[in-house]
Amino acid sequence: MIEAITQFFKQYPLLWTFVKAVVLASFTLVIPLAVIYVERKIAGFIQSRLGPLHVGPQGAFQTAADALKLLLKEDIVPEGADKRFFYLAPYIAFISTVLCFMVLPFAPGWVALEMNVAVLFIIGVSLFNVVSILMAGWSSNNKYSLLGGLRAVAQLLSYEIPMVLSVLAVVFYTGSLSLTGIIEYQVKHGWNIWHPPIMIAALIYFICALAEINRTPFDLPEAESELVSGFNTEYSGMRFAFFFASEFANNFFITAFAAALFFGGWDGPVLPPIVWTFLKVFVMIFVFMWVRWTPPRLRIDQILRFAWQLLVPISLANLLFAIALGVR
Amino acid sequence: MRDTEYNPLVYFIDGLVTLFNGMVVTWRNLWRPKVTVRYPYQRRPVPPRYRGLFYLKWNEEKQRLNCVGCTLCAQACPTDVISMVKLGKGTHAGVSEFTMDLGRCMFCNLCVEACPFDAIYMGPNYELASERRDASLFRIADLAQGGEEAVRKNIETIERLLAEEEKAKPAHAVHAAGGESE
Repeated sequence: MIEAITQFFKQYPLLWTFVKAVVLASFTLVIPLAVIYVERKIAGFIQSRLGPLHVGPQGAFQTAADALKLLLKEDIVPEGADKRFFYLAPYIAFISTVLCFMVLPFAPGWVALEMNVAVLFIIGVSLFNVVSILMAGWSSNNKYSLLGGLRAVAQLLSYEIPMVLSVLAVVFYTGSLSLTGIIEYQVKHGWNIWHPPIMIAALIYFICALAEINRTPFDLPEAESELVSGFNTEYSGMRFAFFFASEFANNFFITAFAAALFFGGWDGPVLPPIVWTFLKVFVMIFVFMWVRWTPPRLRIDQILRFAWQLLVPISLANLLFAIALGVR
Repeated sequence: MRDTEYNPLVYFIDGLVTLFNGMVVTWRNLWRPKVTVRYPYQRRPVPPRYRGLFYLKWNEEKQRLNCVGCTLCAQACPTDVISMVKLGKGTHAGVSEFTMDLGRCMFCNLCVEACPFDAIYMGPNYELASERRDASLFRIADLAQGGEEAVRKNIETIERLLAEEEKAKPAHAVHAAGGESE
């Protein structure tokens, strides 16, 4: 059935591209609903609450209702805001996330764009997120937003380096920049995570991923208790929804990326590949949320010091280790 | 930690250990029974001395409300919530109307403490919110135990007793009373 449909669309390349784009964009809009629901449930359970319960079975449609509410709300632009940037910022954040999903293989052949430098591409486009956050913070004409934006840039750029270095360790180890290539290597040779240099790389990646998606203990860009809500303070309605969606879609993406790099992507027994991908992703998302609701927030100087004094040297040494072991 | 003794690796390992400890705590909490009471569907049991909506005690034996209309509760009330219309006098006194404006009430219990006849009490009903503005006004039928029916019987009983008393009195006494008022 699916084969027949894809076969039909492949006769018209432009249409096929359009279909893929629509599917990916809607996936990026829909997956945050699931992730936010899971997040709220886990947050509730950890705090001895029940979480959302009333809309739909066990409250499953609560986030959909919230999203609908956000879409219907008034779109407020603060006086003195730089309107062009203010309008543009949420969409840039969202587009960077959609672009990341574009090269992500969900199962064998289930990839919108087979790219042989997918890893490089992902690292490149995910940095657009930083641009959008700075744009939002700067254009809001609000000191809290600006502080949040500045913190975000400092933090995301600092953590991008150890993250890229740890991803690079995987690239050297598997000898491929293509995500499909990396996963296929793991299908043949076993998951990357079982090799010592990649284990360290995975730990560093995990820490950096927490920082990259602005989650506690690294949620300084939107530290509620210090900065109202950081870079998105002035955003409301649909624009806020886009920021929120892109944040949680990023959360999904960064774990899917980790699954592809370290945990063999779709590789797994019995169950179909797509199920394995989602299983790994949601287990990791659970761990992310578990961490989120455990430690308190760090200070900005602690966070930056941690990145530059510890993570960067360790990931550099680990990269050399991986190269020494991996290059054949 | 001061900068002079800052060792990033020690700091990191220390942080990891404490993070792990914290995560054990949150993991345990994840499976603990939840404390949420889903209010409209579930309710907490109300303690017996809860200060909820007032009620006027119905005396089954005497077939009347305990209230004699002495206004001690109204005098004790700091916010002037209570007003009443007295019915009868002497040994067979009661009330025909008893109104409480709970919009002003702070549920301080002073009226209950003031009552020497065990007539007014506070019950377990705490859901007094309403969309109507006059819903804070509680009349005797809303307050009396047994409602409308009890109020009717209360007035009946007291009027009957008053009438009996009137009959039992000698005729000249009635004349004298009438003469006095003239």
